[in-house]
Amino acid sequence: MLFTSYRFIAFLALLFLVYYLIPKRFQWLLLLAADVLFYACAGWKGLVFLCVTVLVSWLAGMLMGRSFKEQKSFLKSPEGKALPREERKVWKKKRESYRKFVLTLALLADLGILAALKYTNFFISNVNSLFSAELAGVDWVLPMGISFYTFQTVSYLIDVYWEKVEAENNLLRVALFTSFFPLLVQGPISRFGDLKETLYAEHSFDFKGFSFGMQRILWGYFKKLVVADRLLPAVKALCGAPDQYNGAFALIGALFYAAELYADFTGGIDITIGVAQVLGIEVKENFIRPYFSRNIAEYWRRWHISMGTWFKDYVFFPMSAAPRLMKLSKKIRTRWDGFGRKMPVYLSTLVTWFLTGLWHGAAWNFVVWGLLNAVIILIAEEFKPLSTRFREKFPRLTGSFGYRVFEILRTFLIMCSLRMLDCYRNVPVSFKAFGSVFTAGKWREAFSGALLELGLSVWDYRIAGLGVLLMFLVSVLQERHGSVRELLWKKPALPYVVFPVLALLVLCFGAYGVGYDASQFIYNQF
Amino acid sequence: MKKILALVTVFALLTLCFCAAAAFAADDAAAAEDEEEAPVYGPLGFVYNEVSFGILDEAEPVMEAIGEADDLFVSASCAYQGDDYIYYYDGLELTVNEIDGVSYVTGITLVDDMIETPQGVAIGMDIEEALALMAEIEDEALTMEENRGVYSFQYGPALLMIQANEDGEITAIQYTAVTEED
Amino acid sequence: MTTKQKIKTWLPLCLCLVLLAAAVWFLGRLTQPKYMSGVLEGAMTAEYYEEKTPHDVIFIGDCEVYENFSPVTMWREAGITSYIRGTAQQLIWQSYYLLEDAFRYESPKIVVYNVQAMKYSEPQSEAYNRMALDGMRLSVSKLGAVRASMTEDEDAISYLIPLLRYHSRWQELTQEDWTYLFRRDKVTVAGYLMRADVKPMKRLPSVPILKDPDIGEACWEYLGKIQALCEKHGARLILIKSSSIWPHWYDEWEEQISAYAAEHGLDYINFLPLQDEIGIDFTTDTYDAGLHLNLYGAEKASAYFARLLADAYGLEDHRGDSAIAADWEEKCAQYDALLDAQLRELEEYGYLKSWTLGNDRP
Repeated sequence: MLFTSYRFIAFLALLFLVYYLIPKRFQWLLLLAADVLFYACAGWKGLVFLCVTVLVSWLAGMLMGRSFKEQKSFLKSPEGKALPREERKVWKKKRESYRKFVLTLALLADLGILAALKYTNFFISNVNSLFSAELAGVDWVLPMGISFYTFQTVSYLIDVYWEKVEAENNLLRVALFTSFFPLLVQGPISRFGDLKETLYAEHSFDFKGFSFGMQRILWGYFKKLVVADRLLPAVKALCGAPDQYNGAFALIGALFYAAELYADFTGGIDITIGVAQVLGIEVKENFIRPYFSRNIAEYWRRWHISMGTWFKDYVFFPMSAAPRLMKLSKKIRTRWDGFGRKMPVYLSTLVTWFLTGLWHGAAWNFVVWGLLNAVIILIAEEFKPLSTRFREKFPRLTGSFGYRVFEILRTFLIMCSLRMLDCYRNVPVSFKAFGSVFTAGKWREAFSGALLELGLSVWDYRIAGLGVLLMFLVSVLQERHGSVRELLWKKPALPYVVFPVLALLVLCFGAYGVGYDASQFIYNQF
Repeated sequence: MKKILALVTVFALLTLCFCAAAAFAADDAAAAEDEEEAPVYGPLGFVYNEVSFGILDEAEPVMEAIGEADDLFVSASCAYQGDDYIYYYDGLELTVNEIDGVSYVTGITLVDDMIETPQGVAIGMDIEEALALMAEIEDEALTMEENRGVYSFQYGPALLMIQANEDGEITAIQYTAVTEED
Repeated sequence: MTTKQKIKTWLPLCLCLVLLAAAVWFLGRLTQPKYMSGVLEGAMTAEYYEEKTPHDVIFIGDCEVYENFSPVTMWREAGITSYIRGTAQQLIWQSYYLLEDAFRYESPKIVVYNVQAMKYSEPQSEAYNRMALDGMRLSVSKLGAVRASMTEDEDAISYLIPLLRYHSRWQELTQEDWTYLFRRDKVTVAGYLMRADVKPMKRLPSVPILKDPDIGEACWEYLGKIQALCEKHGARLILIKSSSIWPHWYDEWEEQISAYAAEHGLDYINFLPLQDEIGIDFTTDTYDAGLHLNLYGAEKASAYFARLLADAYGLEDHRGDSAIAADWEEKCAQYDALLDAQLRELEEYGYLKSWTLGNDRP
C-alpha cells in the first residue's frame, strides 16, 4: 500500500476512527491487526518472512531474558551466594556464553534472511564476474521494508543482550514493535527502549496531538507530491542518459536529485511520524535540516539519524572497542604510535561505512558511496588540527555569516557529488559525470530550453522551485524557533488558514493521479 | 609516514572496489550495446523495396526509404484518440500510429500474392509449407499459437498472423503490434 | 472538556473542513474539461438530463449510434420521440448503466443497442471512460459504471471528486473553463452529434486478421443484463449493427450476434446489407470516408428506421401531442440552426472549425 495511494488514506481514516472508539486496552492489538493488513497488501510471501523474523527475535529475546532472570535470582539466592568466587565467575561465564550463542543464532537467522533475499544476486554476479562463471540469479521475493525491520529487531536483540532493555515475552508485542506499519516503509529504525512505553500504552484522544499529527502528514504529502514527484521525471531523464546530459546537466541533475531525495525521504518520514503522532505514539526525528550542516560529520548527525546511530551503536563502537582490535592496535603502536592509536577508529569507520553502503543497496556503487563518505570523514578528521588552527587565527572570518554559508554550501555540494553514485547507479559513469561538470561545459545549452525536454514544463519548475523555497523557509524557521506547528498553535486562527491552503496546494499541484507515475518512495526498496 | 600508510590502505580498498565496478560497468555497457543493436521485432522483420523494417520502427525513415505511398486512409476512432494512418503501397498496406508524438509502424499487411515475407510466406501458399518455412527460424523467444485457422507468431511486441481457410490456403498475412487485449 | 470548550475546539475545525470541501468542489468544477469546443463528445452524457419530455426510443451505444441516427429526422418522419445515450467508444457495460440511469427518469418502449462495441470486453481507455461517465449524475448506476469501466491506473474516488483527476489541468485552463464553469451549451440534438461535412469513401484497407473471433464473456453478460433490464421496465430491446463500414464487421461476430438474438428472442437488424435499400451513398453520406455517416447519411438511415419502427413495432406518432410537439419543434429549430451554422463554416473555412479538432482542415 503506497503512502500516496487513496487506499492508504482510506486505511488511515478508518484506523484513526476505530483506534479512538475502541477500549484503550485493545489499541495496540488494533495496531497489530493494521500492521498485518498493511503488510499483506504488499504480498503474503513477504509476510511469511516477517513472521519468521518476529518469531526468531521473540524466542531469542525470551531465552536471553529468562537467562538473565535466572542468573540474577540464582546469584541472589543462598546457593548462589555460597558459591566460591571462581565458581561464580565460571557459572556467570557459562550463562553469558549461552546468551551469546542464542544471540548469535538469532542474528544469523535474521541477518541471514536479509542477506539471502537482498544480496544473493549481488554475490552471484560478483562470483560470475571474478571467475567468469555463469551462475544463474535467483528470483526471490524481497519483503517490503526488510532492511528496516531486520535492523530494528537486531537492535532489540542486542539491547536485550547488553541488558539495555528487558526482553518482551509477549509475542504479539514483539510483532507490533517489529512490524509497526508507519516505520516499515522507510524507517526511522527505532529502538525498543524508545518505543515500548509509547507503543503499548493506552492513548486518549488529544486534540493537539491529533492536529499536529495531521498537519505533519499534510506537510509530508506536500513535500512528496508537490516537490519530489514533480522533479522525478527530470531526475530520471538526467541520470538515465549520462552521455547526453553531462557537463552542466550533471550538476543540475545532482542539484535536482538533492531536492528530490530530500523532499521524498523527509516527506515520507513526516507522514510516518505524523501518523504515529495521531495515534499518540512518539517516534524520534530522523532528519534535522541536514542541508544546513557545516561538515560531513554534522551532516550524518542530521540525515537519516536512526540509521547513523544504529551503525554507530551496533557496529562502530563495538568494533572500535573490540579486544582483538585493541590488541592489534597495541602491536602497531610499538612501531607507529600515531597510526596505531587511530587504527581502530579508522578501520571501524571504513567497515561501518562499507556496511552502510551495502545496506543502501546490493551494488558496488553504494559500497563506493559509503567508502567515500568514510574517506572524507577521515580526511576531515586528519585535517582537524589544521582547521582548528585556522579558526583560532581568523576568528572573525570563521565566525561570520558568510563563512557559515560557505561551509554549508561546501558540505551540500560534497554530498551532492557523492550522491551521484546513487543517481547514476554506476561507479565509472558517476565519476565521469562528476568530472564532466568541470570539463564538458554545456552551460548555454542547459539554460536555453533543454531543461524543458525532460518532461517538465516551465510551470512545473516554478512550482517545484516555490515548493523548495517554502521548505527552505520552514527549515529556517525551525532552525531558529523550533517547531513551526507550536508557533502556529499560539495563533489560534492561523492554522485554520495555513493548513487548508496547504491541503489545496497539495490537491492542485501534487504530481499524483492518472498520468503521473505513482512512484514509490526512494527508500521503499529497502 | 603513518598518514601515507593510512591513505594507501584506504586507496587500496577503493581500488579493489573500482576494479569490480569497472568489470560490471563493462558488462553493463556490453549488454546495453547488445540491447541497442537488436530490433524489438527480432526475426519478424519485413523487407519491401529492399528496405528492412518492422513493427515499432519509426515510420518516417521507413516511409522515406520505401518510397511515396499511393494513397492514405485515416481511420479515426471515436472522438479523437488513436488515428490509424494506413498507407497504400503496391501489394502492401502500412499502418502507422502516433505514440507520444512520434509515428511508429504498427501494422504491415500483405495485400496480394506478389509480396512475400522474408521467410518466403505469401498469400495463396499452402499453410503447411508456410509453417515449414517459419519453423526454420531458430529463435527461442519466438512463440507460435494457432486458433481457428489463424497462426500467430510472436516475438516481443511484434506479432505475425497468417490466416488460412478450410482448404489450407493462406488468405491473409499481417504484422501487427501486440496490444494488451492480445 | 466543557461543552463550551468542545464547541470552541470543534466548531472552527468543522467550519474549516466545510470551506475546504467547498473549495475542492469549486476547483473541481473549474479544472474539469468542458468539452465545448474541439472534442465535444465529453459533453454528451450530461445533456440527457435537460430533456423535457419522455422518449419512446432510447438508443445506446458508441459513435455508431450518435453519428448514424438523427432523432429529429425520426420525429419528422414518423413522430417518434427518441434519444441517443451514446458517447465516444461507449463500452457495453457503460451502455448498460446509462440505460439503467435512463430508466430512473422514463420508460421508453424500445431500446436500440448497437452491437459494434461488443468487440471490447475489457476496459479500454481512461480518457473515454471520463467522457462517458463524468456527465452522469451521482447514483448507484454511476458507481456501477465506474467500477466496471476503470482501467488499472484509475481510482473510483476521482470520479466522485473531480479535482483529484483534473488538478493537473490548472496549466491548461482557458477562457472556456471560466465561461462554462456553471453551465454548458448543447452540443447535440437529442443526443445526435451533427456532422454536415463530406469526405467520400475511396478505398478501404484490407480486413485485419481477427486473432480471436469470440466475443468476450463480459459482453454477453452485459447484453443479458440489458435484456433483463428492458424486460423489467417493459421495454423491447432491438439489437442493431449500424451503417458504418469501417472498422470491419466480421462474419464471425455477425454469426454470434445472430445466434444470440435467435436464442433469446431478440430482433437483430444489420444495416450493412440494407445500404442500397436505405439509399446510402458513401461518396456523399459520410464525413470520414466510411467510418461514420454524416448528416445526410444519418437522415436516410433514420427515416428508414423510423418507418420500420412505426410499421413493425407500432410506435405512436406523437405529432398530435401538443406538449411533446412543442418540445420537438424546439429541437427541430435547434437542428436547423445547427445545420445552417455548420454549412456556413464549411463555406468559410472548408471544414468544421467549431465542431472538430481541425484534423480535416484543407
